[in-house]
Amino acid sequence: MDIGIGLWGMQSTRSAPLPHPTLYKRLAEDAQTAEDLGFASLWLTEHRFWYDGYLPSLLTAAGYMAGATRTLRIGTGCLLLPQHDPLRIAQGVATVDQLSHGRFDFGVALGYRDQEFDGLGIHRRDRARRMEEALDILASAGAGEPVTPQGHVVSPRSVQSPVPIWVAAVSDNAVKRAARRGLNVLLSDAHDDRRAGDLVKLYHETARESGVDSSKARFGILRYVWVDESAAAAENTVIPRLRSLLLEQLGGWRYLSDENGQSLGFERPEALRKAAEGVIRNNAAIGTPETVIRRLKDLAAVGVDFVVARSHLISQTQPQLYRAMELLAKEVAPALADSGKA
Amino acid sequence: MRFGIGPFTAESHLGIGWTEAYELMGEAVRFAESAGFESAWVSERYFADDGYCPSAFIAAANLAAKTEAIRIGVMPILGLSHPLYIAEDSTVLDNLSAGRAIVVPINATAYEREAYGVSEAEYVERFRESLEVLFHSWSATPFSVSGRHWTIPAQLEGHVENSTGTVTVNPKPAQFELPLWMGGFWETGRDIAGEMRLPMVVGAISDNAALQGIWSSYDEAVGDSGRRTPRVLIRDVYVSTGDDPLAECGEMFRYQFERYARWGLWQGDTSDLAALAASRLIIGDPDQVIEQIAALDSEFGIDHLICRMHFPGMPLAQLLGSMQLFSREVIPEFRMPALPQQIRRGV
Repeated sequence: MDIGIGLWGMQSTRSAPLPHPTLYKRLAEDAQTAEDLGFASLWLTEHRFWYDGYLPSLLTAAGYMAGATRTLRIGTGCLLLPQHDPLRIAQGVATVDQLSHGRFDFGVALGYRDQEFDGLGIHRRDRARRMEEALDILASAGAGEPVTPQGHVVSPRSVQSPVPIWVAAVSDNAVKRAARRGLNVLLSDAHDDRRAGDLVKLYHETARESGVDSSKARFGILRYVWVDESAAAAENTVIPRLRSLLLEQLGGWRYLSDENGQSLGFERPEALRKAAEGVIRNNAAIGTPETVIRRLKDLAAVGVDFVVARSHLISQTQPQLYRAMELLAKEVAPALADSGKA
Repeated sequence: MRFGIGPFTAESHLGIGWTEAYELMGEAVRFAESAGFESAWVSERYFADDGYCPSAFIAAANLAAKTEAIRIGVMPILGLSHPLYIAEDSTVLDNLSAGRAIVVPINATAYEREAYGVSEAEYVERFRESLEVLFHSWSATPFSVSGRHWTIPAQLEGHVENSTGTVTVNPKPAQFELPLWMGGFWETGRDIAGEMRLPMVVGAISDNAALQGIWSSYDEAVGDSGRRTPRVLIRDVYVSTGDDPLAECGEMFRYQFERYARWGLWQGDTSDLAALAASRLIIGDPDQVIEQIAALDSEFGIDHLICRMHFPGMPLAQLLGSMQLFSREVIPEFRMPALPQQIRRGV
C-alpha cells in the first residue's frame, strides 16, 4: 500500500486567517518535507467562490509544486472536472506532466456545490455528462488524437503515457464510470471500510461486464490520518480540528449526508454533528503507529492499495504536521509496504 | 530602463524536446533573476504543432517556485474559455508568487477560435466582456455581470438559490491592484489599452517602423493626464562577440516569424533574413546592442524592454552566453546616463 499526503486547499479560515502568500510558501516547504520523508505524492483540493480563498486553480498550483520538488508525485484530489473547459484542462495536464517530468496524478471529481456551478453558468444536473465528455477529450489528448471535430490536437504530449487519471467515487455510478474506462478510483472519506470494499467489488464486476481489464487499476481512498506516540495526544491534537472542519466547511457546502442520503447543511445541526462524528469514528485513522497500521491494513484487506492520508488540516503548526508526517512515514508506511499488492 | 526576459514558449524544435525546453526555461529564469533582469515572461498558444506552451499560468507558476524576487509576467489568451478561469488562475499565480504577477491578455488566432466555434466579430465582444470580468473578480467587491456571452451568477433553475445575486472570487490577488497590461499585438487590444488607459505591451510581431504609429495613436487615445503610462516593448535580442552573430541565431529567429505567418498573426516576408533582422532584431556585440537599444530609447522612451533572447531550438549554453553578456555589458549602461566606462569594463 502506498501513502500520499493530503489535502492542501490553501485556506485562510476564520480560525487561522494566514496570508495566502504564506500558505503557498508553506505548500512548497510541506511538499519538500513530504519528498524527503519518502511519501509517494502530495494532493491538492479544489473549490471556488468560498470566503477562505480555497484553491480554485489546481493545475496552476501543480505547476508551482513541480518547480518546488524533484521526485514527489503531484496529485489533484480532486479537480472538479465538469466545472472546467476540457480543452484548456487537457492542455494543462500535458503541461504539468512536462514540467514535472512525468510526476502528475490527475484526480477528477464531479463537484457538488450548486453555487460553484451556477457562478460558471453550468447546470449541476449536466455534471455527469460533462464528466464523460471531458474524460473522452482527455483520452484523445493523451493519445495524440484530435480533440475537436475540426481536428485540433493537444500539444505538447504528456511524458507519462497516459497520465494516470483517478476518478473520485462517492456513488455507485461514479465507480461504474471509472470501471467502464479502466481508470483508477479515489474513494471518499465519507466511505467506511465495508462500503469501500463493496465499491472495489462493484468496480471489478463492472469492468468484467464491460470487457475492461481491471488488473492494473488502482484503488485509492481519502482518510483522515494522524499519528502520535500516544493515543490521547493524537486525539487531543487532531479531533477538535477535524470536527470543526467537518462541521463548518462541509456543513456550509452540504457535503455530508444522513442515513437516508439527504444532504446535510447548517439547518439540521444535530444530524450534521452525528454525521461528522461518524466520519471521525469510522473513516479516520488517528492514534499510535500501531492503531494507524491496523486501520490501514483493514483497508488493504478490502482491496484498497493507496491512501491519501489527510494529515494536513487547518491551523496546525508546521512542526506539529511534520512530526505526524515523520511518524507516518517512518513508523507506519514500512509496515504497509507489502499490504494490498495484487 | 528596466529589462525583462522572455516570453518563453517552450516549444520542441531543432532536437530540443518539451521536457528539456521547460527545464531550460527554468534555468534561464533562475539565472536572469541574479543577472539584472526584473521580469520573466511566459506566453501561450493552443494546439500548435510544435507544442508551443498552451498553459502560460502553469509554466509561470513553475517559474515562481524557482525564483524569489523577479516579477512573473504571464500572457494568457483571453476570450475563449470562461473568463473566471483566467481570473482565478491570475489570483492564484499572484499569491503563490507573493505578489509578483503581471497579467497581459493576448488575442486568439483564427485556428484557436475555430476550436471554440467563435467568429472573429464575436471574439472581440468576448474579449472585452472577459476583461470586465477580470477587473470585477480581482476587486474586493462581490459582483454580478449580465453580458452577452457570460452571466455571472447564472441563477439557473434548480440550483440552490444564490440569495446575494453575486459571486466573490477568492483568493484575492496578493497585490492590491494586480497589474493588467494589455497585449498590444492586435488593433482591438491597442484600442482597449487606449480607452482604458492601461499600460500596453507591444512588439514581437511589430517591427521598429510600426512603433511610431502604434504609440502615437495610443498617446492620443490616452490623452495627457499628467502621468505617463509605461512604454513596454518586446524585442528579439541576441548578444555575441562572434564574427557573425546573425549566423549563430538567424534560422531560429526566422522560425518565429514563419510561425506567426502560418498562424495569421503577421503578414511579412521571411525569405530575406538580413532584412527581417534589420527591421526588428537587436543583435551584435555589447557595444552594438547598447547603441541599438539607445536609439529605440531616444526615439520612444522605453520604460521596460522585454528581451526575447531564447529563440526556438536555442541550446541553453548559447542562451546563457548571450544573457551573460547582456547582463554585464548592456544592462548597467541603462541604469544611469553617462555610466563611467570603468564600471562597465571593470576597474
